[in-house]
Amino acid sequence: MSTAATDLGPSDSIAVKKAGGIGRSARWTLFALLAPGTAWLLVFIAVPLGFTLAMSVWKSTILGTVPAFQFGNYIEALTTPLYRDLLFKTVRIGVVTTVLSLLTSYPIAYCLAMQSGQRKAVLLLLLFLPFWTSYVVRTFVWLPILGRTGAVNQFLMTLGIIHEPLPWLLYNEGAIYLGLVYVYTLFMTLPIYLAIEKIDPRLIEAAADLGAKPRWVFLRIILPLSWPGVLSGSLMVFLLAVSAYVTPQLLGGPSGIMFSNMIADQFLSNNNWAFGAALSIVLSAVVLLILIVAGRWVGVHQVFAGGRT
Amino acid sequence: MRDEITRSMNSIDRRTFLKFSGAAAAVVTGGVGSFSGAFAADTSISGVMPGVVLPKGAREIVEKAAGVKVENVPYVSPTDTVAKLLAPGGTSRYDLMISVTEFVKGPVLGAAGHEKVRAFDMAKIPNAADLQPVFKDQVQSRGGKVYMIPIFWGFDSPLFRTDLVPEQDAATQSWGLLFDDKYAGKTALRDDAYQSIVVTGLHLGHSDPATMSASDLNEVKKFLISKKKNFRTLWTKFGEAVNLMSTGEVVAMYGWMPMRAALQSNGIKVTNAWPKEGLLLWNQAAFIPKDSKKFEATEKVVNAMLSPEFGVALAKESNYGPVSQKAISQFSPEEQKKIGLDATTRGTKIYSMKWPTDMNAWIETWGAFKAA
Repeated sequence: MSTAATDLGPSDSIAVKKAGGIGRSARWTLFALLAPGTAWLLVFIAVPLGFTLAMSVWKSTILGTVPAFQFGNYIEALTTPLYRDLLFKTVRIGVVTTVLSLLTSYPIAYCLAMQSGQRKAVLLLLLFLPFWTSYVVRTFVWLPILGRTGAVNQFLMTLGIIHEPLPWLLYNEGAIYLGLVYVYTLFMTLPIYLAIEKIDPRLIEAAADLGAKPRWVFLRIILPLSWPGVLSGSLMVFLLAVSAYVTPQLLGGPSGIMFSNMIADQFLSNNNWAFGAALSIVLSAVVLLILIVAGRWVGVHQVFAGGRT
Repeated sequence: MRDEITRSMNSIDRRTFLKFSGAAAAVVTGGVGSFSGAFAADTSISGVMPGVVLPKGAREIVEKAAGVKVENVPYVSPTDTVAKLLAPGGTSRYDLMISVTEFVKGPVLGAAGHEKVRAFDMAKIPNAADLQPVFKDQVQSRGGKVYMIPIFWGFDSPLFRTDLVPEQDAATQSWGLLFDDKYAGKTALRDDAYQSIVVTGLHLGHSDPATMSASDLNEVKKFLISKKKNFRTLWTKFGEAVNLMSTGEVVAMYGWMPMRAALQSNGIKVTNAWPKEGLLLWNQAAFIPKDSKKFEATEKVVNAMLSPEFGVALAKESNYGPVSQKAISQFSPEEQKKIGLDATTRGTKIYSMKWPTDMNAWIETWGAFKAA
């Protein structure tokens, strides 16, 4: 719309205002262009979130949920040590998973970006291949691999490296990290790969010609230019990890609980939808706060600005 | 044979023709509302019930006897079943629900005059006359109308691998088997606040765990935390639990009778304990959401589920108990003992599942144990 307005000369603008046609038409065009996105945001984000917010101040019993306004759910969620501790644990697992994902995915993304032709296509296909199956299957598959009678233990015993199965391979927090990093690899690798691939190779050549050692080429050129991809991937993995539900339950053993599991229990076992909604809002608020604070430090706006600061 | 096929094809054509003609006529005369009504005569119903209620053989018996196909909606828990019923539109979305009687009867019946379910036309359920006396007492009625009818029963107890846990070990006669240090790292509970806390409470000497006080729950929590290292994991789903036992990942766990049946049929040496503190006994009842359009078809299904044929098939496939007197009489005393159909008469202590006084406190206790 602004382009159209600047393209018009002063006399044209007067003519347009007199006619009153193009301005209204442009407004309708703008409205039509914005409508699908706005409707999407409204239906899939604003309405469910608004409903969750409303329900969080209602009251639930086993007989159902009634719109009786009160803040009791929030008071309980914020003052009971259990929920505070679970929140810290969940955020900690989210942060560690993000860092581990970054450390494993960056080299993968870098190697992918450095390939060309058919080899690159095959490697990309291999990266995507596990994601053609469901999230649950990708998590469940670790049970026969890491279990007491699983593939790893059998292999090590066959080689004579161990004589008893290693029980600590599964059902602990380490197994949760392994599962989460595995199921969310693609969300970290892909944005970094795309960011690295966009880097002009002449910049790297020029740096090398000017005597920069590979370490400095990486630190001063590749890493800064791929930073938006790193942030984008980290953001996605962190958000997915803090809301994880299946992985801690299947791989975490007796300690396999995160905040989402507690929320699910309120809905599925306790019929306390109002309290479950309050816990959901608390988790969302804490995550949002972390993103705002951490985002200012790492320049998270670059994700949305495509690397332009 | 060819005649049969031709007749069958003709009947399908005629039925399909009538259904669509009815639907078309309804649209012309009464709009969309009548259109859905025309399809209400469809011979399938949607049922919210545990998957093990209708194993292959038992399903065939029910669907053939009733002439109705049962489409299963994924089942989560008694609480979720109640939530589905009470949710907006829930009383018309499903045709049949089956869940733990003691857990759901309160919210399902609701206040007098505000029942969420419709009364059965008992003239359409002749097989109900054959209910064992103990289950006749479990029929949920109000004002002379019947709203919930028991369909099957069962019990939960510790399952253990007889090749890895000696059957003569005294621990196998108690829920304590799941907490025993001898089997540290090789037992599993269910990831369910209610069932795990009940059995822990029973083991700690509470005769009625559902009424445990806050300090009792605290005692349960401390005990569970002290034994946490003994649990290999907490299972959530049927297949996961069966896999844990079959691979030897655990040697004993909180279990269901269909798990025992599945493991035994695959050659795994498994049996269940008869804990001295009490078996967890329950029965599941059928009820029809009050606005179901297919209540007549649903009543046919419920009647078929009360038949001796269904009861026998269910007991053989799932090891769950039939409520039909005729069904139970088809098993010899030895067979009854082997499957556990004599659970209520063999002298083992019984604890009937009931809703706790403060479920939220139970969820928090369970959460605190897991988070510790």
